Formats: sequence, C-alpha cells, structure tokens
Amino acid sequence: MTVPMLEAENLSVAYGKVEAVRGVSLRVEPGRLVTVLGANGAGKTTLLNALMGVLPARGRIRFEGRDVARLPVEARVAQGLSLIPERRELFSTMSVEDNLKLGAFRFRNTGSKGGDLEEMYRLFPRLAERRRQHAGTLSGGERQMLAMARALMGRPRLLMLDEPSLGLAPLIVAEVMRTVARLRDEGVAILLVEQNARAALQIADHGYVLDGGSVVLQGDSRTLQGDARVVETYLGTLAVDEAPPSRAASGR
Amino acid sequence: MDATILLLLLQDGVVNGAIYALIALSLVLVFTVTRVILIPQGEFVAYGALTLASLEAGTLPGTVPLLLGLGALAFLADCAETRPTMSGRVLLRLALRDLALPIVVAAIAWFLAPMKPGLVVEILLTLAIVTPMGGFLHAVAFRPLAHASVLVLLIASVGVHLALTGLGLVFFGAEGSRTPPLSEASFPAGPLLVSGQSLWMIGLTLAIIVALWLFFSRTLLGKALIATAVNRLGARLMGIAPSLAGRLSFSVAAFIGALSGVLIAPLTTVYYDTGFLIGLKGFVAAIIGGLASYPAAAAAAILVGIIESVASFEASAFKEVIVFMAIIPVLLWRSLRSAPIEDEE
Repeated sequence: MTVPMLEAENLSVAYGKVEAVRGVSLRVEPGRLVTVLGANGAGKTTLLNALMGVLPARGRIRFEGRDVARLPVEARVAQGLSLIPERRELFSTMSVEDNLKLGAFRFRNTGSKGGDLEEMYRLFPRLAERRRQHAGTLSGGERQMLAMARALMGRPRLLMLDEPSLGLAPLIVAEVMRTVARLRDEGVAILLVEQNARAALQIADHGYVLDGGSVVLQGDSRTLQGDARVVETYLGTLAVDEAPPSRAASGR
Repeated sequence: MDATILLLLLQDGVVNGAIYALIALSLVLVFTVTRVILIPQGEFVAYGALTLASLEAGTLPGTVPLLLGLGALAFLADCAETRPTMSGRVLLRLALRDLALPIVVAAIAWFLAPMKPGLVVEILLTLAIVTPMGGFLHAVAFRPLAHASVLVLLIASVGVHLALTGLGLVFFGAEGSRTPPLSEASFPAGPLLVSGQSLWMIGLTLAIIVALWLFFSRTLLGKALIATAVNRLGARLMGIAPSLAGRLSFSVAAFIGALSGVLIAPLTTVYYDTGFLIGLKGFVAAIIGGLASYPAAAAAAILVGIIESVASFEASAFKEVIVFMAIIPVLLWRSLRSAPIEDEE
C-alpha cells in the first residue's frame, strides 16, 4: 500500500466555542483528484485553511507520511503543499510576472528550480499578454489563472483549490476545471473544494460531502454522482448545464 | 530675509531633509512590511553617531557589548520560534547568525579600535555593529507579537525606544560627541559655500534611494518584502515567512539609521537621546506620505527640512513646534479625503 499524499485524522477547528470542523478524516492518494463538497458554511474553507496551517487545528495531519500538524504555513509550503485560497490573495499592485516569480520563492536557496515562466505562459496564454500589467487590473477569470500559475511556479506535490469557480462565467469555469484535470493527469495530487458539485464530480476521482463540519458521505465520484442524497441536495434534478447553482452565485 | 539668506536656509533645509528622508523611507518600509511604527529608528541614528565617535577616540564602543547581549537574546527567541522545525542544521544557522556574527564583529572592533584605523574603516565598522541590532530587536521584541494589533505593536515600539535610550545612557554616558566631517572641502556656488560634507550627505542619500529601488525592483528578496506588505497571507502561501520579511526590513532600517547617524555626527553634537527628535521628524515626513508611499515620504522629508531651517531662522524658539504642527493640516486633509482605514489587514 502506498503512503497517502495527504492524510488528516480526526481534524477539528474551532472559532472560539463554535466548532466549524468536527473530527474530519480524509486522505488524498498520490496523483488523485479528491473533491470536498458541501453547502455554504459546511466548513470546507475552514478545513483547507487548517490543512494549510493558516488556522490552528486539533488532530493529525500527515503529508507524505510526515507529521506537519505543528508546522507553520511556510514550512508546509516548503514541503510541497500549496493552497489557492478562495480570495486568491494575489499581489494586486505588482505585475503579473512578479506574482509568478514570487510563486517560485521557496526554491530561492535550494539547488532545484521552480516552475518555468515560459511554461506558465504556454499554459495560460492570457497571462503572457498581461505580463506587465498589475495583477489588480485582471478580470476574475484571469485572476484565477494567475493564482493557479503562481501556485504551479512552486511545483506543489499537492495543490488545494478553494472554490476556483467562484464568481466566474460558465465558460471560464469549464476551462478552469479542464486545467485542474490536466494537472492531475500530470501527476499533481489535488484537493478541490467546490460548491459547483456537478463540475467538481465530473473531474474528481473521489469525493467527500461535508455538512455541519463533519463528513456525512464519501465515495468515488461515480457513486456520489448517482447517490440520491447528493443528487437531491447538491446537483439538483433540473440542472443540465455547467452553470453553478444559484446558491453559489449568492453565497459569500 | 533677503534672497541670500533664503538660499542659505534652503541649502540647510535640503541637507537636513536628506537625513529625514532616509529615516522616513525606513519607517515606511518597516511599517508596510510589519505594521510596526518604528519609534526606535532614532536610536539607531544616535547609536551610529556615538559608535563612530567612540571609534574615532580609539575606544571600544558601548554598542559592542549591547550587540553581543541582543544577539544572545535573539538566539533564545529564535530557538523558541523554530522549535517545531528544529534540527541540527537550523540550530547551526541560528548560532552563526545570532552568536558567531556578533562575536566576530566584536572581535574585529576590539582589535581595530585602539589602532584608529581611519574614518572609512571606522564607518564600515560602525555599520557592522549597528545593522545586526535591527534583526535582533525584531526577533526579541516584535516577532512574538506578530499577530497583535497596530496599537499593541506601537506600544511595544515605545517600550523598545525607552529601553534603547536608557541603554544608550548606560553605554555612552551623558556626554555628547561629535566627529570630524567626511570631507573638509568646500565649493563656492554663487553666494553660497557648499561644504563637502553636505555633498556627501545628499549624494549618499540619493545612493541609498537608488539602492533601495534596485533592491525592490530587481531582486526576488526585495519583491518578497513588497509582496508581504501588499498581501501577508498571499506571501505566506508562497513560502515567504513573515519573520524573514520582518527581520530583513528591520535590518535595512538599522543600516539606514546607522548611516544617518554617521552623516549627522559631524554637523551636530549627538547625545544618547538625540535620535528621538530626528526620528520624529522623519516620522512626520512618513505620515505626510501616508506611511505607504516612498516618493511622497522622501519629498515630504525635504519639505520638513526646509520648514525646520526657515523656522529656526524666523522663530528659533518655536522651531520644533512649527515642524510638528505641520502634521496637523496634513492629518486633517488625509482624514477628510480618505475613508476610515481599517485597523487590521
């Protein structure tokens, strides 16, 4: 049996007295795409932030077999864990190119090299056109592209994405999802948090459903797509296109 | 006041303003990166001037034992901070930075000081003694408060300022010191006599500004500092540790402070507590620049220098009052113009 890329056991996060994540256990195998679904306030973003070390958490987190639960964010980045947060957190007053260069910061003192700028521009041609522009002037879709390219410059071994489709037009959502799937095919393990359950399940290998801070359902994505509870609650019976459900559009 | 006097006052103001500009730039740097309003910046100035004066006199400066002590404290603070990732290599790196470096600098100072090695070597030695203090102070006093509010950081900053002023009195005594000018030359320019010293001051200020600009626009480390200032979480997610950014910005501030001290030491007698007022004038300039804009802060610093020199001619008793009053209309204008600023990021 292989060592899982990421393994969380009995993870809990509390804001004061309110527990936003309660005893969640999950694993991401190498090279797999795992998605976490759930409604607003189910604890998805909190879960990702805890895995990244942005929020303090109780429980165990192992990354490639090593215990990282007590490491600060930067040390987890150094091990190859990466998070693209919901708000993207770009360096808005800096150029697109500087944003990308900073993505490879963790290789500054090491012999190995970070991602290649030209490779990113091939992957995301729009960014090449805008390389001198400030990140703050980009459109929503371009910002998500930049956030992904910036994260890839750090050559992550596991990439966590928080609502990459949020606020994007359906066509762009499809493009983002294709890119995520392609990254998985290139060997990057992925943990994808999405409200757009339909789009996420189409590309995922495995899924967890979070409700009230706990995992209520898990399984491979085909099973989940056919599960009556998932269909009813997260996919809806009438949704036929890629558009995110109206919950996603209004929810924040 | 005739034109000649005005020209003289302008010249004076620009030269002093250059120093305030250096201080204002380091205050902006430290504030944007760490949210700390660096009140002790003036102490770096005084330490720089007094250290150089001690070396001039052939004695071991009082800042040398202070450097060793701060290094030892910083070593303890660093060990506590890095406990989760502690390893033999990390410990060695910390020991080199916090213990070995100050010891080497102290040994060189102890060896060279009685020999009076000449102004250039003495200035380099002064910078080597004072600059590491910035990083050490950050590790000891500010990094443990990294998540505190701006107000708490300001209070800590005042505390560090008081501590450093007191230590300055202990290590340097109450007497003031003055050093010989960097250059005895002077050049007639119309009705004015431009001293070599003032040319050095303006030249070095410009050189520092260019060096800072190159650092921020051309190096990854410089960009990492700006990135931390623009978006702290984003920077952390790229693996840029806030403690690295903080230590770096404090070191740059200490370096600039020490250099400012070296530059003003020939112009005025510097006491252990002289730095505060100089730092405060740099602060006025930084505030006029909104604690965010480097060019605005530098320009405002020149203005502060000119206001000061004109005020000291026209109403010398009210010199400081007039300078500090200049901040009031600026604050009014800023608070009317801008939306309320949220305290936290």
